[in-house]
Amino acid sequence: MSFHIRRIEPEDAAAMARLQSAPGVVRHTSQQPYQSAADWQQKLQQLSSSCHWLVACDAADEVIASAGLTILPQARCRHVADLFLLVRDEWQGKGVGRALMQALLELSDNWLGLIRLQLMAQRDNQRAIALYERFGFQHEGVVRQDILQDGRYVDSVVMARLHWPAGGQA
Amino acid sequence: MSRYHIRKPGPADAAALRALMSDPLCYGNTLQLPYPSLQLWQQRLAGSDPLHHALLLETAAGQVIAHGSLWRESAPRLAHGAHLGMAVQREWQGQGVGRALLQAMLDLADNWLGLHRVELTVFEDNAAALALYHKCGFVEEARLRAYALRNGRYEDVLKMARLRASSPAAQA
Repeated sequence: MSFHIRRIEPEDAAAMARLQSAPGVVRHTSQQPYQSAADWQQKLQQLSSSCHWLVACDAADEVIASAGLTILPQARCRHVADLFLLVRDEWQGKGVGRALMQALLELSDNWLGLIRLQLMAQRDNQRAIALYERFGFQHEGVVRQDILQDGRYVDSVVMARLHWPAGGQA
Repeated sequence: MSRYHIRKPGPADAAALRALMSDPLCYGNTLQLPYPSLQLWQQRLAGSDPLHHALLLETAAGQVIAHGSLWRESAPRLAHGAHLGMAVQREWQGQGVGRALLQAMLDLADNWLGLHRVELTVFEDNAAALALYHKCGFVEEARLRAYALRNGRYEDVLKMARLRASSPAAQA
C-alpha cells in the first residue's frame, strides 16, 4: 500500500476529525473521543507559524497519519520542539510512522536547526516508544499520573533527541 | 504572624514585579528574559485567564518580595495538573518566604482547585529552590537535557512533581 507525505491543509479537517477520534489514537494521545470537522477546520486555519505539521495520505489523498513539531513559545526554549505522531489503527506497522519520523527529523536538522526534540508517550504505548528509540530518542524520566486514559490517571515517559548542528560554514 | 501577607496581585503591582524579576537571579533561574518591561507586567496582570492563578507575598510594610503562579492545563485529559513557577527576592531568600508562598499555592491547588498533580521545572544548580521543593513533597521525575538557554549555555532542567495525597473527601 503506497502513501505520500505532504504538509497539512485546512481541507484535511474532516479527515483529521476521523483520524484523531479513532479509538486507538484517542487512547494514546490527549484527544477527546468525539470531535467535529468544524473544530478542526478552525484549528487548521489558525495554525501558528511555530507549528510544522505533516500528514501521510493514501492513494486517494485521504489522511492516514499525522505528525508534527511545535516549537516552544518561550524565547529561551526556541531551540526545542514538542514532537507528535499518530497513525490510523489499520495503517500501523506498515512503515508510515517511520517515514513521517524521517521527514520530521530531516526538517528539524536541516531546515529548522532545532536542537532538542521532545515528546511524552503513555507508558503502555510500547510500539510508539520502540519507534522513538529507533530514531535516537532517549528516556529522560517518567511523569506520574499526568493523563486521564479511559477513566484512569496513567504515567507518561519523557523522551528526547538532541542534535547539534555541524560546525560553522567554511 | 503578620510578618508577611499573601494576596492576589493586581495591575498596581506591575512595577514591583518588574523590579523583582529584573534581578538576574530571578529571571535567570526561571524562563524569563533580561530587561522585562513594565508593559509586559501590566499585560500579565491585566488579564483574567481562568487557567492562571497568581499570588504574591509582601512584607508588613507592603514591599513585594515573592511571586508565584499556577497554570492549569487546558486539555480536559490533563486538566487535573498544573505547572508552578515562583521567585523570591534575593535579600529575602532563606528566611521561610518561599516556603510560605509555596504552601499557600499548594493549599490553593489541593483544597480549592482540586488539582491532583502540580509540576515544575528547576535548574539543577538552584540548590535553594531544590531544597524547598523537596521539603514540600516534590519528587524529581525527569532530567530534560539542554532544555533552556541560560546566560549563553543550554542547560538541563529537572522536572519535578507533587501528587496530592488523597482525593477531596465527600461530605459525610
